[in-house]
Amino acid sequence: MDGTPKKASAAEAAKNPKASQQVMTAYRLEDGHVIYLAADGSWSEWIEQARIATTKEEADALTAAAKDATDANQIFETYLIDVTTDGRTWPVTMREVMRAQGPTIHPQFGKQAERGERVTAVANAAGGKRTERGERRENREG
Amino acid sequence: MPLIRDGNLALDQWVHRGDDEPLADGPTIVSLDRWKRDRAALLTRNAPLGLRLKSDQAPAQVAADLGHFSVVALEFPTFKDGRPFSYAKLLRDRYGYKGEVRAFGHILRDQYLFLDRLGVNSIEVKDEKQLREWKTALGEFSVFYQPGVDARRPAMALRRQVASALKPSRPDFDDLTRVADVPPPADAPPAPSPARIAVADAKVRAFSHKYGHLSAPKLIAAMIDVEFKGNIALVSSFGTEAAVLLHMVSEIDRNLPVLFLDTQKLFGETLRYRDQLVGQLGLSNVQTIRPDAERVKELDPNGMLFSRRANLCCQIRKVEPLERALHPYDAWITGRKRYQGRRRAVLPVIEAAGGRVKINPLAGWSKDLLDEYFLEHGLPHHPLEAEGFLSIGCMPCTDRVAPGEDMRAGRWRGQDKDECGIHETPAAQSLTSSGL
Amino acid sequence: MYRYDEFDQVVVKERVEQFRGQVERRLKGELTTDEFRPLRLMNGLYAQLHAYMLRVAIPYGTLSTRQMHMLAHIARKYDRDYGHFTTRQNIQYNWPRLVDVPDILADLASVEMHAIQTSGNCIRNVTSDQYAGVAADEIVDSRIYSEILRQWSTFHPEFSFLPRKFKIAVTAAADDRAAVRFHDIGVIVHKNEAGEIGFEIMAGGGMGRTPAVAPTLNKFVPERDLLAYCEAILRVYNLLGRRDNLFKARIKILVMSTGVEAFTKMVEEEFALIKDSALKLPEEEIARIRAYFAPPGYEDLAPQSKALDAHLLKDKAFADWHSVNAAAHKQPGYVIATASLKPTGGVPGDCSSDQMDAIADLAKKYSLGEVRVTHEQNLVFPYVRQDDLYALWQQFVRLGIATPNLDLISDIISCPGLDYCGLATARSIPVAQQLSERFADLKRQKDIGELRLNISGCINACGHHHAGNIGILGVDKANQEFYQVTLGGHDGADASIGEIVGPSFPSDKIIDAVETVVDVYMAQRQGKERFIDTYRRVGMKPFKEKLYAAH
Repeated sequence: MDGTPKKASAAEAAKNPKASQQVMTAYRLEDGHVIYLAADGSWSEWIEQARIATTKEEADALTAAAKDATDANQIFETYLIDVTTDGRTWPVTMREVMRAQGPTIHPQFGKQAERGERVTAVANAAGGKRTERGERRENREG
Repeated sequence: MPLIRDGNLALDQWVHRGDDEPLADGPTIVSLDRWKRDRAALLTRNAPLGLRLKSDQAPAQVAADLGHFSVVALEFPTFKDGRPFSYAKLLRDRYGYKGEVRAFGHILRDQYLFLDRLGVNSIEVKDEKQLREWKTALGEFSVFYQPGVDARRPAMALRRQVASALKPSRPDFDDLTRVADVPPPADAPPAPSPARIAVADAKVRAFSHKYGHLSAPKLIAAMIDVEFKGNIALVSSFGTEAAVLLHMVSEIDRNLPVLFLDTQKLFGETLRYRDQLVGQLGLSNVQTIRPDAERVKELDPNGMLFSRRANLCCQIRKVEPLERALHPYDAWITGRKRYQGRRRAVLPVIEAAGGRVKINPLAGWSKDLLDEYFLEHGLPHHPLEAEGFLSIGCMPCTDRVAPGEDMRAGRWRGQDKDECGIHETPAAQSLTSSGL
Repeated sequence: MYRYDEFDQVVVKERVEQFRGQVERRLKGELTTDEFRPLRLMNGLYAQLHAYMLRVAIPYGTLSTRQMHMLAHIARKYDRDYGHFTTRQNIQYNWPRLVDVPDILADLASVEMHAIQTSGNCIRNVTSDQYAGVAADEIVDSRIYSEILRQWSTFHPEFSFLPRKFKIAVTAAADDRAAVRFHDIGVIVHKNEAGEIGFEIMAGGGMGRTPAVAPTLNKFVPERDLLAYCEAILRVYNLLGRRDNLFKARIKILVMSTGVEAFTKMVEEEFALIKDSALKLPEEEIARIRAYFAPPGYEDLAPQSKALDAHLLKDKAFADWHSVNAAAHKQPGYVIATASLKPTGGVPGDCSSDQMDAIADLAKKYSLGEVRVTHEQNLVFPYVRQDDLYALWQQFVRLGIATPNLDLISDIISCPGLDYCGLATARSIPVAQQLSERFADLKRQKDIGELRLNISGCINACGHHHAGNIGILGVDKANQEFYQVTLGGHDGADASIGEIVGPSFPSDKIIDAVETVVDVYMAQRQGKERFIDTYRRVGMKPFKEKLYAAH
């Protein structure tokens, strides 16, 4: 998770404005839990509450807010992720679905447990682009 | 840029110069490239010269030239690039470089101690405001496993030193008398008066006739209930055999003061065993006696006194605290036995020591008898006994006992020392003692 | 087992306080994310997919009862009531809070444990044979040398910022149970004709994207020179290992690009310069460490227990378990028992707090207070009296750790995969769960025989798929999980790297694909031939034909 924050998807989004729906994610410093920048400017554990950027300007605003919170030592590892909004805000990639939900092998842990429902994770994620950081992700904390 | 040397802010007389910058008049550090290019000119300068090495420039390529440089500066392009650590080590160990080795670039204060261990004298830091942090970093560890090029000796060498210092043939061996060169603590209880010593001696003579025939529990009962009511304590190590005496006492008076010496060097197992026995036997007045913090701070600041002067260590961690703790009492009970050997082979059941009566109810007990007692009363064993520790004191000075060795062979192994001193000195003298 | 002396205790205690300070500096903002990362990693604290993850070292896999209880306590107090035993004799907690980690480390220090160097570009936890000290086929207890290496590698001033991570494994047995040839340095203890101890030292093995079996640099390094020789290897690597490309930074790449001969020459030259330094191991120090690993007080027992024989005749389930999960002991009347952390449909290597406590109690009662963690993610009871084995097995059954599948197809090694890991490209545990269910029939498993099946969720190969007889590698294809199959990997004395069989399988086909591989093996094998032997005899072809004809 550490390393250079993802920039590729923002660039891709700029090329293809129709596909561009992004939210800002990070980890909370104190406990390492996954969080999202919410519409009201706070950091929420729930992706459903995340503010969605559809233009480059909006995405830049999310990035600026993330930098402020990073500098204030509240969060770390901030990056934008692609989402879909068919019915609910939900990540596109398998990895981000996992982060938004919790480990599939332990439905009693993670956000799925607190949310009280389990969004079928990986199956729903099918069809997304290969926007993962792929090779770059390798070895960072392996 | 501020320079830190040995943890302190230092005046930096050196300046760095780039490859095409004019040289300064004073001490100047230049790159390896410039040294190679301008070697002849640099050698004619009349000021000290320093060499700057990038992290991919090993000192091997300038090994023959090192005599020309008063400083070798190692660059860290990022703190993750660990090559300069090896360069420092090689400069010192392999090439015998005696000048200043400094590090500059992206360095974390958490790396300072490593650099110091490898012979780096100085570091150019970004910000002198964090000077205290850097200084703290130098003291974060006090034990090291690896030989460095600094004066700190690795654990392996310290262990050997401890082992060999404990050999009696060594002239610097710290014998009992050398404790005397350290003055006693200011609040030490006064020495017993001759009258008190005489009274104690008289009681011992009398008790030997009166109670000498009694079994251990009956003797204890007589002492606690009749002779020294409210004036007697049991001193227990909570060692391998302590449960026997503690059990006897618990059946007579659970509220008897039990003094336990926590030297702060004990095995964790001993502390847990103490708690286990206290719970199981329902002892309600166990007092943990600890060394005087000031005294420890003064004489054993880094906790390694045991390795230099074991007797002084026992003195401040056991003898003095016990003297203080026993002060209110006229008598005490110990668990020593004759079969434990050495000086204990002639142990009397009742003796006088330092103006107090000392009861050794189990003096005559054999190992078999003790084992039987454990079994009969379902007493738990000290967890270390199964690991070969038959007599247990402080962790650093206690070793296992091999089959066939006497049971206290693991105490201060190799040293001409088999008692900590609480039963020997200084106020333990008596005019006489009595056996059965 | 080893116990800390004054010096060891000081190191670990000071480390706890140092890390406490580092966490405070991070929370106050005195350390940036980038600066804190290597510091926390060197203390085993990762930022994983859902939360922090703390990896605690279990040096050479040995745990006392007290330590196991502490691991349970930590899971209960600071985490979510379970831990995960890994392929490198560590345990991982998946949900600790940063602010609690200093306290966790203090709790660990109280039982002589730590998380030092369980991650980061430094020398990692030294691993060893889980049967060390009790194996019938060993020369000496390899933990003596593992402990010497543990101390030397702890906070090494010169080698804490290496190009990449560095793993060392030691074995002293004929049967290599520690996969030493897949390590950055592999050490095999030998005895020469004069009866002296020495080491065969290999370097440059590993998994990852470029798997390699380590070549031998020196066949017999004298006992006293162990540290000097390792230091020589590390110095050459620290100076010359690549730092420009993360994927080419491991020592194996240096060995490959330099050539074994040239690399060996550099190491030998460096070694010649330092072998008479302070690194030379004094006999007293070796003896001091050896004393900690002296055989425990064994009872004088008959070589074959009558009680055990009777139970084996009477109870078929016990006999089945015994034939698979019990191993020969060097002491007459004793037996080595392995508790399986691979129940059918379970998560390989997971263990609940209650299980840990119960296991600790059982070890105290039946195994002289000691448990071993294996790189296959199981737990070994090393000192069981044959007379007690039946009672112990009954308790294993009660705890759900009696699956008789040691070294069989459902004894799957699996990394955490995309369910936890920030690096993973696909999930691996669900595949392991489905496979163990598919092959749940114990009779069938036994019939298939010894077969190592390993699963990794990405190319980093933490699930050792390269060394699996059947290896599975999860990949991400257009945001879908696919699984590549390799065959012929092996991690014993005759180690080999698995070969890719062909295009990868989607997640709904991978279980069938594995079954097809097993079917081909069953059809091809001669007599009692193991999978690996059949594969080596017949090659890839029949497997490939069947796999891709069917799809």
